[in-house]
Amino acid sequence: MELLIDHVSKSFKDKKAVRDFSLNITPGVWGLLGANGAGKTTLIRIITGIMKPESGQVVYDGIPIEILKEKYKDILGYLPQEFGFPPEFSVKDYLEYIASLKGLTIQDTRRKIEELLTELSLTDIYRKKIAKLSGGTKQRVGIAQALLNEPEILILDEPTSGLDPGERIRFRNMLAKFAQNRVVLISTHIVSDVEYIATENAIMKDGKLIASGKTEELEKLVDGKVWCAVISAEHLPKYESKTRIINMKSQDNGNILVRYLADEPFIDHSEKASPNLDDVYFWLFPREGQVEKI
Amino acid sequence: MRLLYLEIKRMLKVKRIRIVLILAVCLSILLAYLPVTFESVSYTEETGNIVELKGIEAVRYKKNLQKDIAGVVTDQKVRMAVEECQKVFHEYGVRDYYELPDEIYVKRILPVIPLVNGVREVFANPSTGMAPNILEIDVAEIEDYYARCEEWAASLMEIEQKDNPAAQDFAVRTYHNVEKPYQYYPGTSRNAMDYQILLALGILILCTMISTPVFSSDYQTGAHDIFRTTKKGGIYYGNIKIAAGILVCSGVYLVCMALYLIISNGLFGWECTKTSVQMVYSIVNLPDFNIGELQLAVMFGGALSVWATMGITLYFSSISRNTVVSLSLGFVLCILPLFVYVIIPDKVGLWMNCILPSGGVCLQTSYLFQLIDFQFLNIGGLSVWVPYAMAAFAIVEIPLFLVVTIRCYLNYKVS
Repeated sequence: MELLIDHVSKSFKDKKAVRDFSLNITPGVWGLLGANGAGKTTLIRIITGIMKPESGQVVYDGIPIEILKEKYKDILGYLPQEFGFPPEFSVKDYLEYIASLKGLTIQDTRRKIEELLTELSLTDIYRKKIAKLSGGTKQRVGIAQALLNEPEILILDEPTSGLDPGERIRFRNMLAKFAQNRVVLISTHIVSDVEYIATENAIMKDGKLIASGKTEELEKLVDGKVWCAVISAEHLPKYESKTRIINMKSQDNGNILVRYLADEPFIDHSEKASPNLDDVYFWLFPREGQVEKI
Repeated sequence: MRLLYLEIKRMLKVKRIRIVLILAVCLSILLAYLPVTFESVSYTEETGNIVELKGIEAVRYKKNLQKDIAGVVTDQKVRMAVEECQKVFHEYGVRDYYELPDEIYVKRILPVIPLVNGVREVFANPSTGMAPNILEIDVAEIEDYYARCEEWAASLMEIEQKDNPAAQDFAVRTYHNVEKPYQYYPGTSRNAMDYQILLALGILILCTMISTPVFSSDYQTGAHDIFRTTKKGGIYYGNIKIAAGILVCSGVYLVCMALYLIISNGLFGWECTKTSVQMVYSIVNLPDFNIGELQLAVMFGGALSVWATMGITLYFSSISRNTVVSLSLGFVLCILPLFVYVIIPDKVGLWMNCILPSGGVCLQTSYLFQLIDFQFLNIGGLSVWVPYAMAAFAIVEIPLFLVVTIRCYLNYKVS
């Protein structure tokens, strides 16, 4: 199973949203990282077949998706960035409707819905209107619809937006369980969403693929550039303006433990830290980085 | 089929559509009943009391008064009716009905008036079309009443379609085939026919509220993004949505029309449906219909208009992300023939209203008024009677707009 994005480009009026993007996606969880406006959603829409690229193509197991048509959609599960649903639908109505659109038989529909309701803890709200559910629960309904046809390719665009921290963790665990022998592509600008579950990552900037590979491989990009140091609170503004601080943690004695990116240690008594995906992201997107206060 | 069932179920779950359905039923009942309330009659009892009857009582009273003329309209019956009128006019020294005392009108004229109405038209001046006074009619000439009707039909068409011999020829032949002698049953109401068209227009507007969000609401909510990525989310789903929209709208239209006709005919009397169209409108109307058949023709002609209008509103829906925009366009389309009728007169207006899909239910331009009129679309030497032209345009428009709708749905570009 292989999903090939082959030199795909797409522009809107005078803005190039995706520029000559190529990536070979194999089974496993893939994180598609990029700042807002990087072109992730456009790329995702091209991969799902909702949008046609100006040039290039998306190829599944050697066949362009335009030729596969329904066969491709049959193995596709998709949750868009904003989970839209008809407001009149209850969870039950919606899942039955989507199951029918996905071509499931009545028996399979019942079995699969029951299975997903249990798995996603939706049993109690089965008959409630989706519009009346909380953001997190709505998102779980969105995931459920995407999984109804047991897709070989699952594409999730910013799936954790609107979820609280607990829901985010449950969501990640569920995905990790589901991803066996499937392609799961998660588009996000929140690194922690994919850091622990993505086996591979693709990083997008201004419509282009700027880096891709396994998490450990990407982390090597910033190996030796991540530092930790303790500074006094009054020195923080000085260091903030001169270096890329990724996060900081207040200590009991009034000092602050900062984690920062630099080619050489910038603060006295800095210690080298082992890099993570967050560091890679901030290294590649210096202006997008925001200090995370812990 | 399951998806079609789910789509219809989905539509019927929308609060707005449920309200529309309730409104449609209420409107049908209200409009069916209203024409009865317009009926009134007053007469003086032997004691000198003036009795004023309204509504269903007035209908019953008039039906009772006219019971002797019910049935086949023979030459003899028409002659006797005219003689009676002339006699009354002479007795009271008047030249028109309104000059008569009310009680005389009710007692002596009202029982025969339905038979007299057409006579003045038949004896109109063939070159000017001016109808004579009832006193000027030579009753001896009524002996061959239906032959006079055919002569008048030819004269009228010469006046109406002076430069279009094809239209004249068509009209004369068509009228020749109308079943004669006519039938008349007391209680027949023109108001009820007018209100049937008013209801059809009302239902069309309500159907627009049902059909315009079919595609655009999914674009607006973003639900479309998911539907389009499903196995059946392409042309099949587009067809299902169209079918569901048309089925629901057709159901609403047909049920409401049926409800209207059952109530209206129930109130005025089912026997009235056997009355010849010519006894209610022009004596030389072209359709070989009785009132019941005219009601059905108006209903099914209206259905063509509703379907053609649905075709365009679904097209609006398939291109518009905003339901308000598609709804507004739909409303404008529904009432556009009214403005065209008023603002653009003559041939251009007539052509436009034949082409506009909602023309068939839009009051003055509707099938009812075109069926009882003598208008033709003339192009070169060819003349097509307007009701036929309207139906032909609708039959072409229905599949055309549905195909365009599907194409637009499939090519809809997500933003």
